Amino acid sequence: MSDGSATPLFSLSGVRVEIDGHTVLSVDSLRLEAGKATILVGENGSGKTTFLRLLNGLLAPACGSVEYQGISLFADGCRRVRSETVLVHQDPLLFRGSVGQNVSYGLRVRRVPAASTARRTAEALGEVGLPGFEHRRAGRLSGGEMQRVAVARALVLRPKVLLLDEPTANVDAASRLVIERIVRSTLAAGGSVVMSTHAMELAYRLCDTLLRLSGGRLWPCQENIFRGSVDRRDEQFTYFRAGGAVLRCPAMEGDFSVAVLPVDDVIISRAPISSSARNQIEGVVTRVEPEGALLRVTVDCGLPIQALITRAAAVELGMDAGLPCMVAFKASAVRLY
Amino acid sequence: MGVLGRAVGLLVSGDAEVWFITWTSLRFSLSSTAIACAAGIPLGVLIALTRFPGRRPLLAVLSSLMALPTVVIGLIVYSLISRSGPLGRLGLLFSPGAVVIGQAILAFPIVLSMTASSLSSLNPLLPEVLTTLGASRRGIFWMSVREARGAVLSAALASFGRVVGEVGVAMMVGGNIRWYTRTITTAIALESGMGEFELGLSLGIILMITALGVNALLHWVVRHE
Repeated sequence: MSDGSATPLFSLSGVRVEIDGHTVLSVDSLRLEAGKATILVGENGSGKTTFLRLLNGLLAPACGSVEYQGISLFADGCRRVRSETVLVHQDPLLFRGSVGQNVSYGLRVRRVPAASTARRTAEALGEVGLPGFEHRRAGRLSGGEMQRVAVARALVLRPKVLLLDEPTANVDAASRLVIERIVRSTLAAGGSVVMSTHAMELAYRLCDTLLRLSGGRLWPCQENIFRGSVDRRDEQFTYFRAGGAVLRCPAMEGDFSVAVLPVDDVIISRAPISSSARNQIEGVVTRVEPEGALLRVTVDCGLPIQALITRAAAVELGMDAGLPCMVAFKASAVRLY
Repeated sequence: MGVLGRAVGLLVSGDAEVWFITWTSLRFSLSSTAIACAAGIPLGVLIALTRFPGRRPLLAVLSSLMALPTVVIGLIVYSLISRSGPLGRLGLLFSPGAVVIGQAILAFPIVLSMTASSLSSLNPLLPEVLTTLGASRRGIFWMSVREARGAVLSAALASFGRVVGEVGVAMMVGGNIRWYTRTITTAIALESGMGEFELGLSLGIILMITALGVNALLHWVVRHE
């Protein structure tokens, strides 16, 4: 979700998708930026797959507009979105025949010359860690291998936007790592990724934008997600540097790149408080937005930290943009990934 | 030498009439199966891949048409192409064309119903996966048939088996004319009626070998899919 003025990759406005008369997805307003990883999370049936199918032009909304790079998807943009985006379904659904026939399918329908098709097929299989698999029977692969072939079948088309529906569901750890590497390499090459997943750890590690779907609606993210690195460790804490702040986190071994802090674990006060919270950081309120019965407050502490507070607390604190304040949270509230 | 011995003798001696009748039967059956497949497979794919009101009742009707008695089809075709019928001017009655048309009508619901049924059992995601990979409608059609090729081939073989062994249509609209429209089944019916068992039996042996061959091929296809 961005307020940027550049043409967004996808722009949705007043979208409602109905299946058999029931609304399965409703999006008031959303912009997805190009070159970013947008990760969808939510329980089964929350609308993640519908959202991805909508972006790929595979289903039309009952109302509202979906634009791809400023062009309405269901006017002129459908052909373009189909040529520049590929959806990898949760069910890999490989065709009968060889792995090579599967991976090269999209190139063959685009009438890419045979030599180029063979080379690109081999490259795509190499990217997903299955080099030399061209002549294997698709039906005899393991679940993880099938999913990787399905990803290779999309990668071979060199899409600008990779849409992945639960690519790590029911696959082994090795396949999960391959998927993660592919998302990163797609982004590094200037592409964009929209992916749904139940694997929160993966979602936190990869996301530029985290979208939470529930009951077919988008809900604000309930976590602060900080990118950074481990600064140092001692017996009690791991010190995680993100932006201009250092967060005290539980003592853990490992090479972490993301710290996650739930917004409802953050306390805002006018002055330092005496408590068990091991993190107390000075900051300035930059934004106050209503969120249901609560207010979502963004505080600049060298990195933006969001908190949810009640309206009564906001009145008591005189909450407004520009207010100097203290942000406090327990070290144990921070999870490192 | 018994009747069976004389029948085998007719086969091995290369009796011209036996082999002409056999060739006529195969020609009619292959032609009618090809016509039924040309019409039935695309329509079967269409019915399987699209959703429209009345689809299920239509499939039920098509399934029941598979069991339509051959004499009923013979009667319908006869009434259409007889001199007083709406297509009488075409002069098709008692011609090879009439038999092929009648047998194609017989085979059509078999091909269509079995194709629709086999494609309906494909993963419903297939058209969507093909679409996202860039397939056109035609591409989706061909890949769907390819994915269900074993079942579609089975449909073709089953319809061939049905028409090669039918007697009602060939007799009613072909007229069982010697050296023209006489097929294995009509010849067997005629020769048996006349007490000429040798020819009937030799043709029966050919028909059984054909039926067994088609059945064996069908099993092979099913096993290898």
